[in-house]
Amino acid sequence: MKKKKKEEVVEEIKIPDGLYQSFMVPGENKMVVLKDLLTEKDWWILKSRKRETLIVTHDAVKKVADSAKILTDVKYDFKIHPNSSNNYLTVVECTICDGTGRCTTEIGESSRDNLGSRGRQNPVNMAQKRAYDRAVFRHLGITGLLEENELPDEEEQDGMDRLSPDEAKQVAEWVNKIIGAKNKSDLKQVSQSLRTLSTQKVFNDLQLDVLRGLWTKKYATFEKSF
Amino acid sequence: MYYVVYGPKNMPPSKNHSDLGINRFSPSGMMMYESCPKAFYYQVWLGLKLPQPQKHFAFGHAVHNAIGNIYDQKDKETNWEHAERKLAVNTFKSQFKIDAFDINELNWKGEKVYESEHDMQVDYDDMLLDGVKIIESYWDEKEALLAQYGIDLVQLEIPYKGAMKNLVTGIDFEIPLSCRLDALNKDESIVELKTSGQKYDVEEKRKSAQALTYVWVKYQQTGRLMPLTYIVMLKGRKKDRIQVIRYDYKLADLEMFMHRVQAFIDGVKNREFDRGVMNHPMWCECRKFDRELDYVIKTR
Repeated sequence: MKKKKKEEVVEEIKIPDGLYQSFMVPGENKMVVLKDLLTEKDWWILKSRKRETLIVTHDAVKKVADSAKILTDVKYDFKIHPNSSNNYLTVVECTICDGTGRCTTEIGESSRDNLGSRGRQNPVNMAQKRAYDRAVFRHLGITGLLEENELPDEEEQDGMDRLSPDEAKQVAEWVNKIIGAKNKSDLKQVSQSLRTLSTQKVFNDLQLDVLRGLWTKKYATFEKSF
Repeated sequence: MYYVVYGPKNMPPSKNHSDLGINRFSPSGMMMYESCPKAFYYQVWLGLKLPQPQKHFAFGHAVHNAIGNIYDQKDKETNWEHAERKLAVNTFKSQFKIDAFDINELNWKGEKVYESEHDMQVDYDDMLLDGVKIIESYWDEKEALLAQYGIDLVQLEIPYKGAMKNLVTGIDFEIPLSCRLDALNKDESIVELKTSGQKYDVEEKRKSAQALTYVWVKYQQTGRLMPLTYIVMLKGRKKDRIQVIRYDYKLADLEMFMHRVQAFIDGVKNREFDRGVMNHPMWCECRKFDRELDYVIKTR
């Protein structure tokens, strides 16, 4: 008996409100709506606890700029150069113009504080991209969008890195008990104490989660069942 | 006692010095912070302890005691005329035991150092022999050290705990200082005894937080800027086993150091514990902790 192929379920992608914004192409009596110009690969939604943010790629911004007939002869002016004493702060002023002669200037900045691991190696490039993308959005009057380089590329956090330093400090004693356990018996004692702490709500859920994770990892080393 | 905090992650830094997270300043802690804040975070700020082999600590401790024995044997009038080298060597041998070695020791890559007990014994024998040669070399050099550099140790392992005054502002720092000076000379100058696999960089070591802290301590105690001498006993060499470096610091050096201390305290207060980016060594302690503390998060 032949297996029936499952019907492919095509999930309809909801176009975010931000992509319904439009701009007028200078010199042509033509209105372009972002959702018609950009494909699904050009944007994504960043979800956080409090809100959702529409992010567009740098290539998408260039696509928008080309469509809006923004000239490719862009002027960059470096206001602050990066060095070790200014935390690699880079400030770039970017001026873009369209065919009608209307120009817009915006600044872009980057430093160790607002760059993730990837961008840290090229702060100038990051500041330049930020300045250009902001200038394009400003020039066309597009609001509410973030270009991807505005985001610090947060490193994935696992294990204890999920806790803030102060949260980690509160559980440090228990972490020591777990990583210092010499056998299963030691770990079982820790487990019993943790259960009590869990019921007494001494630690928050994230702290308990981390302790449980470390405990499980250590237990697995004794079981040798990785 | 535990305090329950249900706040969001990365809570704003505390401006209250009692929330600094450390209750004392130590030069080794500051050196670790300057080298890698993440390593400092794990080891000092959180106080996490990984199973660590004690062999290097035991080696250094035994060398210190053996050198202490050399100066214990020194007579005020006849110097070392009636002293015996073997007593110093035996002091080292009696203090450096194989118990300090761990068969399960892992290197910075997380691989086992020893494949068998025999390998561990061989390593111990090598270190023991090396230590003996270091003591013998020091014995041979002791008169030259006395004549050339005035090295005449009268006190070893001197603990210091107390307030630390910022020499620039004249105000005490938020936390007290806690450190241990290796040795004091007869003229009250400071001597640091070190064992190392390679020669010290003279320029680099001049900026060492440890050296500057000791000079600062003596300055607070005596009002005088004492010279500091490093005696570095080099491991694994056939000759030139003793390196001597002497620094005469100026008040300006200490004043610059005050800014470093303040920057360190501010960094800790602001919870700036990101891993070092520039020249971060592969063998940094933080990687060992990362390995131990990382686990795959299960999806619930």
